[in-house]
Amino acid sequence: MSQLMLNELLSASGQTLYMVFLSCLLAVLFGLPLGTVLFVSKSIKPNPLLNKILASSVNAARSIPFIILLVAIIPFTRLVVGTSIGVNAAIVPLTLGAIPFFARLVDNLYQELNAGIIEAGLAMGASNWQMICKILIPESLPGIINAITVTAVTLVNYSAMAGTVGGGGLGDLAIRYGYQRFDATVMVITIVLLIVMVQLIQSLGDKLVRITTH
Amino acid sequence: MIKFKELSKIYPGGFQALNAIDLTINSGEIFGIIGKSGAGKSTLLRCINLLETPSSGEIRVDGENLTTLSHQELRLARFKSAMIFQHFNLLANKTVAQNIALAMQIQRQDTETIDKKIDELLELVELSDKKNHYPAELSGGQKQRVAIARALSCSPQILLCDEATSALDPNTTHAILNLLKKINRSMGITIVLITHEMEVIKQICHRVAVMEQGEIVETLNTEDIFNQTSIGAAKSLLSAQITPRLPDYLAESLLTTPADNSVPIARLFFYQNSASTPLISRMSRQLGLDINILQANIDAIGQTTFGVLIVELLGDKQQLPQFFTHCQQQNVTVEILGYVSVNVE
Repeated sequence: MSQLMLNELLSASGQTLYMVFLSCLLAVLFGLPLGTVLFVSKSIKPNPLLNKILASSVNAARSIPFIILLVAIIPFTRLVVGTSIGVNAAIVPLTLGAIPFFARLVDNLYQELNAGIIEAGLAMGASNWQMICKILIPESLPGIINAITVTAVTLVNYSAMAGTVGGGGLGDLAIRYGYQRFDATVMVITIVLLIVMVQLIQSLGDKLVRITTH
Repeated sequence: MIKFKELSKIYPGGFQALNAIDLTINSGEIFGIIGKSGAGKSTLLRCINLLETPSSGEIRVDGENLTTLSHQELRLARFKSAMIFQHFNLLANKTVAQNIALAMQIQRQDTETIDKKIDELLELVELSDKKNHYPAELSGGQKQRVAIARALSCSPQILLCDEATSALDPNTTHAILNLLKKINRSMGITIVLITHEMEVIKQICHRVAVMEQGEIVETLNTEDIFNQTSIGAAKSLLSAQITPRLPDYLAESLLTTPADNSVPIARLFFYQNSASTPLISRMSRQLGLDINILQANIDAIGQTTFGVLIVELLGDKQQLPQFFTHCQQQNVTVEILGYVSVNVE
């Protein structure tokens, strides 16, 4: 394999990691509050209207296949990053696809918490904010880390799709060399790299879950 | 201290959990609410800190009408009470010390005060060596002790206990109840507890209310349970709870109506002085009855002894009515449980 190819593989891996990391970070940043509001508006400080709106938006967003979302929001992507091609442009749909996914995971985590600890918090006179910061999030921490891991793995998958519309990264490489130029070696290497990447993310996540579970 | 007035709760769907409850709980007392599951006791307890919002009526704590408070005022009102639960409700991801700190952090006390208080409380509940352990490493009794320490951390005026010992074994129950008693005596905290076990009422409560189907059917001092002449709700609950279960072979062969060669099986519930009188042997002599004791259980509340006997009444059937009259005179409640066939020799 040529030095050139090796460089391509390296930079593509870097691009994938960059896309996954940044969109995952943004998804957590927006998805955690969204999932929390989703739960709080249902169970702690009921606000049926807000809950209905958020829940249906999350469901609607989750029902759009990622490949469609990718193309459908191109005007919005252009508005945000100025272009619809490249790694940075891919981050917009990746993040938008991951936010509702992560938010729903977080909402489910809270629902699985023992209702008794929420009652205990209420009995202590906790404000909504204290309930979230001192009880909901700390008690769900291992679950949240697990949800981040699942989201990151999903984003590795999505990022390959983003590659098909010029997003860069390993998916883009595999399509251009492996598919369009019939270069089986590149195809196999990208697959191996993706597997390794997912394995690493998963074991890092599992390790963190173990540390935070008591 | 705590005053319910015409308090009702109807759940969406129409189930009436509480029906016009009028009740006053005095400052500094240990008040027990007993009833079967579904009687509404848990709902009533949760009205004291408004975890359940009543449908109508009012609840006053220290003169303050809780139902009219704003969200913020209610939070402050909740600062004055604390609650412990059947399943402890500790935070699994926090250590014992962090769990105890929680209520104080919610009330925004400074770190120094919190640290000092944690050590004090751990000493009180005898868990100083478990300070940095997680709840998963503790036994049920230890978890409840942590929950009690957490509840006491903000010096509440009222401690609400929701079946606090129902998940514990008898020895641990005894120890936890003693701890509650000690807290009540040394700190003067009003304790309201709900339970389905007369045992708990008997051990620590000054007064008790019996609940049935959303209503309080009886309220009385614990030691007065026996002083009433009629069989009140508390007394019948007590007699039912101390009655040993009939052995299966007997329960299966029990007939509801007498047959030719059958003898009655009766439950005698006696209390106070009657418990110390040699009733059985005397009547056996006087009436010529053979009274075969199948099962017995004797217990005491304070100075009052009470007990249950399950007996087989053999011998001259003509004497039975007299036996019943005798029992009544001696304040012994008799209940025929059924009849069993015997081979009379």
